[in-house]
Amino acid sequence: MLRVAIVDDVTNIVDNIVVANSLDDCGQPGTFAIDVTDGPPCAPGWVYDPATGLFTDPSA
Amino acid sequence: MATRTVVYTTSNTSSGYVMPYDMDVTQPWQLVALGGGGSGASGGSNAGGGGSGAAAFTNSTANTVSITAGLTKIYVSIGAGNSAGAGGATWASIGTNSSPGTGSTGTRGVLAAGGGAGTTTPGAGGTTANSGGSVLQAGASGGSGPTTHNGGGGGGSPIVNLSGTTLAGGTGGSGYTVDNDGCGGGGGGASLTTAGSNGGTGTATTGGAGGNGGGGSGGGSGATSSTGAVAGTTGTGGGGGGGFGTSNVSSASGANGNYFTDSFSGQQVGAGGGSGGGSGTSSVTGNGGYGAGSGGTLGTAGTGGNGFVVLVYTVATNTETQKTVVFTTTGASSYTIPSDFDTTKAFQLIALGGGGGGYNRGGGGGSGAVAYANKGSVTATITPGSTVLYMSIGTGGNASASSPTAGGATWASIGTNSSPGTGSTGTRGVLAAGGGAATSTTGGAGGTTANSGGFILQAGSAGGARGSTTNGGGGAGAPMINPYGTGYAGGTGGAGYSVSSQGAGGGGGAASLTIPGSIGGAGAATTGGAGGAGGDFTAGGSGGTSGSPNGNNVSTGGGGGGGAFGTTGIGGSSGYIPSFTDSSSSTQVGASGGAGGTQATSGAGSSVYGGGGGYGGQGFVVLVYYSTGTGPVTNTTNFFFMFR
Repeated sequence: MLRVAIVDDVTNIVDNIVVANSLDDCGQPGTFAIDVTDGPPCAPGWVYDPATGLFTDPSA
Repeated sequence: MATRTVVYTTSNTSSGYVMPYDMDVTQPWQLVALGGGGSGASGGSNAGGGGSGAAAFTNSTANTVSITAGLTKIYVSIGAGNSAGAGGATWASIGTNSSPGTGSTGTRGVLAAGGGAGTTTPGAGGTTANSGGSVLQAGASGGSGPTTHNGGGGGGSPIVNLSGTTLAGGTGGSGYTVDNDGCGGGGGGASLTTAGSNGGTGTATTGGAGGNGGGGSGGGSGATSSTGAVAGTTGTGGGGGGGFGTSNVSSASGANGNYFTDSFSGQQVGAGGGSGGGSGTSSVTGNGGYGAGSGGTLGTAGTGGNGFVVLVYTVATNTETQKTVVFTTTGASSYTIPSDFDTTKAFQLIALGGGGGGYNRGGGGGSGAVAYANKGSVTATITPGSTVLYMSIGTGGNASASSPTAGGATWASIGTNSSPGTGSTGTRGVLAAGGGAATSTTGGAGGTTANSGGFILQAGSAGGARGSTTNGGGGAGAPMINPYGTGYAGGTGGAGYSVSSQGAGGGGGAASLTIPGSIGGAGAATTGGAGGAGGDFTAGGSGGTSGSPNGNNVSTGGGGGGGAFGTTGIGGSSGYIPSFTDSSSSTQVGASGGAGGTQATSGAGSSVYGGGGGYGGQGFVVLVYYSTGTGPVTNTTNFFFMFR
């Protein structure tokens, strides 16, 4: 079972963190999916950086 | 009238799940969702516990979407519990692939907000304002951490029962106000009739007890100076006990509830209990049960519980016999739809692609995809006793030390002698892509949904990569789709070890009709990787060792073969899960595990159906239909059906 970050493909803001059988099961329009089963840490509302593959908490 | 419960614990927003083919849409049904639990604060003073997710409900009265059994999709997104932030939201939507939205009223589904993360203040429960449905219940908040060391417990989960009654989860208990004493216990999860109890507050002598689940029991006791914290009792939704002082600093996990049982798989879910808070920098807090929050700590916080979705419906009355026809002959063939095929009742057509070949001392082969169509999706005309089902079943790829081959695609088409084609939607049949061949360094790709066609598709999985020169990767386990249209992935193949002449990777496990296969184990310095367990819970083959370099085979179940060891060992072969049985011949088929990675330059393990090699497994086709009872008597079961 995977833990997957659903990320808005325009803003790179994490829309949700979901449980999925595979990345292929996460096909919501306007988003892309990243496997975060083994990290890095993230949560809904955090911002994804494609250059580093890391997420930052804008409220921190 | 009989009802059936369907439990969803994994997301599917790509092809979606299918509303069950045996659903009586004229009868009442209910849909319940629980959001994921938030984490407690981690690594800071005054650590608050995480909040639990909200619960949301709708039913056939509030719903306005027209439902056709076996055709209308239900899209599901399961909120994950978090170890470093808020829990994810859970939603289910009938007919439309998007969240019903906050403020929605259950006209097409439900949305349950995730629980908030604990910080220096407790995490809030998921709110009704961020949820949607005809009935909503907010999550419970975590407990507070009033001192540097004494963390608060996580909130227990709420639920809405099938009558639409709201039941709150227990709040997490707070830590004691004198530092280095008791931490808070986790809140209890609600049952279908009673709210969960609040977690206990830490004291000068003990961590707070976990709150009882709605059944009235199951909360774990808190730690003392001499005893560790106790977890909630399995199945009760009880909260976990809190940690204590400087001696038993860690907390215990909350338990899952077991109030809903999937009628097909037996999987149980229910509102979970929160975990207790931890004390001190070296503490590790337990995890929350379904939807519940984890405790806060100056050390490392555990993970909130995942959410879930439950659908309960009335099963349509049907007195006819269901028959299964299995096809395993590779290459092109045809079959006349039998004269007893009832065109007015549900039927299913399932195809599995062949598995890809492995590269000796290189990558493992990918597994084939699986494709599904049913009465709801098929528009081709079927005349029993006349219409021909054409098919082509893919062969498994060959293993090789230089040029392994890909698995062949499998297709089946009603009335037209050609593949339905990639991108087709199951209007006349199915197409399942074969698994990719491995290269000298990388595993073969799984058969993709893009290269497949059908109403529901499930991709194959990738083979394992080579670790270093001799250490091959394992083949991937095959996926499967059950007659209800729910797909499960096979396990990926394990990678070879990074230092030469040591362990190869194990094969991935095969999916059953209800459970995914597990990933194959990676090769190690002293042994080949073990094959991943199958979806039928059978173990994979063990890996080879210096004294017995070949990986071990499995002849039954879905576990992948074990990886070889050294420089001459051969990867183990895999059996398959007998998921479908031909009603006449008793031939059985099902997904197979992947073969183990191999060390020898010649010779390799094999897969039976759809798994990656070594030698990849072949594909198959299955047709399931209801018999009108007017066809020929072909076996003993039919004989008694006809004449008693």
